[in-house]
Amino acid sequence: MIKNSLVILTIAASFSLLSAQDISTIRNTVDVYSNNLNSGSAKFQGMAGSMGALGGDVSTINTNPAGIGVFISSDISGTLSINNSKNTTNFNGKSLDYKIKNTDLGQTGGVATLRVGDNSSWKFLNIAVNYSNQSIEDYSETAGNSNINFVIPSATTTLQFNGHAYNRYGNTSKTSVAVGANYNNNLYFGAALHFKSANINQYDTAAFTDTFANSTEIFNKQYTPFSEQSNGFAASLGVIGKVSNEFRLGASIESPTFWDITRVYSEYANPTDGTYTEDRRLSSPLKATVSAAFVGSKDFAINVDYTLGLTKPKYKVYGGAETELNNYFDNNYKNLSEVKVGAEYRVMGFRLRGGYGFASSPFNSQTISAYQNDGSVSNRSFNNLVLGKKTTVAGGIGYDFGSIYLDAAYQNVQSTYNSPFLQGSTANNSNYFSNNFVLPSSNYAVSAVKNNQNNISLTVGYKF
Amino acid sequence: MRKNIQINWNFKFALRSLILLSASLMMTSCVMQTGAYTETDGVYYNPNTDTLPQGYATDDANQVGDYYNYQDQSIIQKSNENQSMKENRYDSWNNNNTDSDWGNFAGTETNYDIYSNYGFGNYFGMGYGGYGGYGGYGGYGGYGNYYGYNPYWSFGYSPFGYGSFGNYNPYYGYYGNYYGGGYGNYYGGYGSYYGRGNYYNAYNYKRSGENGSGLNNRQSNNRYNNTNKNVIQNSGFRNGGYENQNPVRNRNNTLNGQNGNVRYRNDNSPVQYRQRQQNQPRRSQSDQQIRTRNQEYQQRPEPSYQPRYNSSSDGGFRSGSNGGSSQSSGSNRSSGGGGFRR
Repeated sequence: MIKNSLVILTIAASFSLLSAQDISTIRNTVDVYSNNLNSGSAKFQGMAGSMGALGGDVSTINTNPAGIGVFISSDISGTLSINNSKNTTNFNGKSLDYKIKNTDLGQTGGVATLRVGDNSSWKFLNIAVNYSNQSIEDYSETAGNSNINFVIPSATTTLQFNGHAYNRYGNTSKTSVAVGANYNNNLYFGAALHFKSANINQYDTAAFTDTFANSTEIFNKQYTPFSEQSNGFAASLGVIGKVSNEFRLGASIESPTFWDITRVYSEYANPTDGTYTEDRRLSSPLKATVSAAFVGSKDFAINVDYTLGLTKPKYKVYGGAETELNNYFDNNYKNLSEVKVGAEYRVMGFRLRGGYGFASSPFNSQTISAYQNDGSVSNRSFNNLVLGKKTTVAGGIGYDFGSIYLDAAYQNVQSTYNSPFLQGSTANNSNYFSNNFVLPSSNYAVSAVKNNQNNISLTVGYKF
Repeated sequence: MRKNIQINWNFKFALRSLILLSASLMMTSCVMQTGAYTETDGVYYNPNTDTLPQGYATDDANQVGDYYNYQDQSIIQKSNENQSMKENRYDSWNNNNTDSDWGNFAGTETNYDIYSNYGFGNYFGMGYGGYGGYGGYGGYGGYGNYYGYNPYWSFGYSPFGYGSFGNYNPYYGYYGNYYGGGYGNYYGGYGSYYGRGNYYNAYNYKRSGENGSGLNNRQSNNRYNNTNKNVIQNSGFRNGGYENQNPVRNRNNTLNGQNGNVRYRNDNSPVQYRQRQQNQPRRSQSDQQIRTRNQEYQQRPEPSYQPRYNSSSDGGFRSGSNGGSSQSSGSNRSSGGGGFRR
């Protein structure tokens, strides 16, 4: 009896897992607001962002601000980022893909080094400012499946599923100010303040064929499309220590980013359609990074970073929507776990770099009621739902001309995830709405999405 | 034949010598370069062996340990100067009309300042700075502030500067989130959504709702799972009688002939929504309402945002409708699309 009760409880719990706001909000909460930007100097990118215990690059302001203390010369750099992202969806045996190309000023930054004095144990006090920017444009379109259809008796028609798209425009940026200090060339300290901003335009749209009128009905998810304009603030602290001249350890901690989000959203049939505004406050996860590096000689350095999320995203509760989001993250969010390895090899003025990164899926395995290809519905369990694990392979070259240096990097980032859509609740009036119909689906359709990014970074810098 | 072999041996010896010489020179040069290494990368800096870069951007180039800078003309210039000075060292004596050590200066002249009004510290001097305040940073619409940099009021940053009228003011400034004209402005120009205090006037403030409990899903799923999937799998209705309706009937007539069974999208009674437990499709009759929505979107002031709504009938797809059979690859976004990108 107890066993049966447990089973029922488990099933009930698993069904309540996805009782959350629209998927795109969940996705953006993690993807945009909780993750760090994947932009930086070409050196940083070429080492897959792994230089937590090495430092000496202005982009380490994003991972371990103690890296600013490592600088022994002042530095100005700017990076051009060329990003190419492709989403390939697979649903019911049909594949669709879509490419997005963006060229941005990925990063500009500078470090001012101040020599404290030969007699002091404090060798350097460095000040750094860095600005990084990244497009967060994303589009995944799923092909239709006529087996998923809804008979509308009152209109004597049937709606056949004809496709769905998650569509996001926007970008995020981050301005960081840091102070780094060098104690006796053995210990390096750093502290940074990060001012972030994000803007998002998000769509969640489904298309159905009205078989009677032979026309296409376009449905928007309740509370979409929405726009968000957000500002966030975070602080970070870090330290790097030389265990020996070759072996170094680093640690840093980054506070939650406290986001202030202003939203505009469309609402349907409550009781009329309208566009409204609201605001939200979100604190992203607290993160800690531990690093180890080995600087074998004048020619070679290798670094390993491990970043762990310590808390979960949390919205300040103004109403039911935030409670629902918080419950979802409490039940399903898996703390960020990311490992990155990066290495650099120097031959005279030449630089060769490589890196590898792996980030786990930010969500636990989830069970939802989902359509099968034949249109039937069953309870299915998905790994990597909404967002998935991510692997990064990176390489880079560079040349140091003395004062001026040029670096180039290439990154391939791959992630796969299962993208759910179509679900709504009639009781909560959270269905999909077209001009004529309200979609009665309470189940998800889930397409498999593969995201493949090819990023090129070009940095020109000047040391003085 | 034998002679030829002898020549080859000589040639090989010469070649080997040349290689040896160049290799040894290269190695020597390497040693020389690494021997006095000036490290610029803090990662590799070893305080015991390396020298710090001492502001080498401002120093003359061509120091020990650095690559020779052939572009640096300063040494040649200096050499030329020295040479020129050496050659002309008697010029001052030869060309002078006087033997006085004072040179051309007679010793008793007085330099009258006949343009005293333009002189240093006089009427027009420094005073120009005052006008400059308006022209430079002090412009009305420019970067700075009305009072800032205006020497009539103060030197440099006026006490009226970044305060009240300055661009950094959170209420009126460019960087302000809510009332700012420029950066804080999501929907574009002045006076639009976030601009100039119209923020709260643009749209009504309202909290968005919940998505709904998963328990509802479960009840529905059980029903779906347990019923005959082939007949009513997705209709949302358990009553098969709906499927028997005459499909030939005119759609509009059907609508008009409906009484209470059809649920219109512009149903004004929210209570009815809350009471609805079935997944029953609702139907809207209101085309006007739709047009109103389109217009509302199109009237949004910011151009970059507007096109996304331009074809709002396409919803979130980025360009037009997509056929389920369209298996494209590498399509690019077309302009003017809605949410569908192709």
